[in-house]
Amino acid sequence: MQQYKCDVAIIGSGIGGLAAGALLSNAGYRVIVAEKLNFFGGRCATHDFQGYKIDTGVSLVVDEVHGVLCREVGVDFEFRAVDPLLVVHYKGKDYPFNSAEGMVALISEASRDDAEMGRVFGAMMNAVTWAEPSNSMSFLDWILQYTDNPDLLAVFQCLVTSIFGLRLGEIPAGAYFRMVAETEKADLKTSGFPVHGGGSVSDALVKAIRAHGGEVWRSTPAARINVDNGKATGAVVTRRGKEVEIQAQAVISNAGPRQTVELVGKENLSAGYLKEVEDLKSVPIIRVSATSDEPLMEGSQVRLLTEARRMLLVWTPSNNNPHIAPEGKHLLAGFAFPASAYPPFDFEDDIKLCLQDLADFIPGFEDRAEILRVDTFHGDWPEYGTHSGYGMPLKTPVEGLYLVGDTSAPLGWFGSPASVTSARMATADVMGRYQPCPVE
Amino acid sequence: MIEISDEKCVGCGICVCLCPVDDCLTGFNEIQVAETCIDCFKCVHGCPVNAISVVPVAMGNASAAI
Repeated sequence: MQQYKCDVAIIGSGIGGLAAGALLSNAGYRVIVAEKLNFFGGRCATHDFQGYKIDTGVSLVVDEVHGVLCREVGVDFEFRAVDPLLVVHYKGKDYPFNSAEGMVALISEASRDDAEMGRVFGAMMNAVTWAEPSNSMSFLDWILQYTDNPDLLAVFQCLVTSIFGLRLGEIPAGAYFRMVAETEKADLKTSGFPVHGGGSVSDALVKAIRAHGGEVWRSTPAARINVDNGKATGAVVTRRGKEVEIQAQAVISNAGPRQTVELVGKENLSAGYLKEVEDLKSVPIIRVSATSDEPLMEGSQVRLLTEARRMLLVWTPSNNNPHIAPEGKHLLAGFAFPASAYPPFDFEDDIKLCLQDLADFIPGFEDRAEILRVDTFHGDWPEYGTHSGYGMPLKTPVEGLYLVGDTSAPLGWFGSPASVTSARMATADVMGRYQPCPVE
Repeated sequence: MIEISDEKCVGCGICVCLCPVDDCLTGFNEIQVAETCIDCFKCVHGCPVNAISVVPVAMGNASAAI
């Protein structure tokens, strides 16, 4: 069997694997990234469909996360900031999501009176700056302590679900407030769109790894992660039809928890760890792409629809960006969530409700728009790999085997920022334990 | 030829984007394969949940097609 030697073998080229590969190779470690699919980026890739750019997952990015990472490893991607990126659409008006003033105005509008508004906003501030609610309390239980006003509940349902994909009764209240606190702490303030689609972040990271002497292989599925005496020693992958062995000091898996268990073998993992993986629940999403001759919505903001049944986020990525749609055409993107994040799902019914929501929200939608695609993500190819607050640890029971991706980030992080954060934590740990071997 | 497992398919649409033939792979949620498939297998190698497999064409059917 052909053998390759490197410092760190990385299985999977999602943004977590690529971020880890880019950070390590930038620090002088030799890495090999093996991707089983015929494209890089996983749920952070962009495909061309009939001249439109369709993202496999990540569409919105944060300059302080994705941009800073890329610049740190010597690459960049074209980015267009939108401020405010998220606006909450309530009773015909837009309220900026990223400012305390916007939230005060929104909660005030949805409250029955000043006393209710003061009670709810005061409790929110307390939860962010002082006593975070415990993880055993759902957001629904938390908010019901302060109000049962259906208008306010609908606003919070929209805020929580559009970010975490979970309904109020499905998410620990702490997860939402930790997210607000972490966003503040990390000073995440510059959000927007990669001009050529979310996949351009992955493309940039692939370029960085290769520029630093690392290898990134596509169409290279892993057959197993090698373990010797309780320590990860590398992996066996199938490259160009032949099995090859990658020998490494450490292995970073970005293949998802379930696939990682298969690769490393249950016999090498503890019963408790296996149960945690088995109990993981992913978050589903429905993504609608609609085309038109004229923009279906003004501006570049992502609108959170508080009054819709399933469709929670809509925006027009082609506005002010000629790279997203063929000349003279426009694209509208919508993210919707099933009635519950727990299966079984009735996507047929959910999709009907999504389209009704769009027809209600966008004047003349049925005549002006054509549905390009409706894509569903769930199970092993979900919106998020875990319900917030129930993720996996960064380190597996096998010494030298790390798990990165959106399932292994600290509470409060979600999606691709979570993946990048997990990659930063894993690479910092690798650098503290292993030295790069001299090049032979 | 290819076969899509309804049980494994999540409906993410990546196969439809990777397919070089117009209207070969169609549908939302449940993806269908048309007879225009050219067996390039890009969808097989791009499916993140291994829902698409290559199935052999029976000899009789192959010669009928010729």
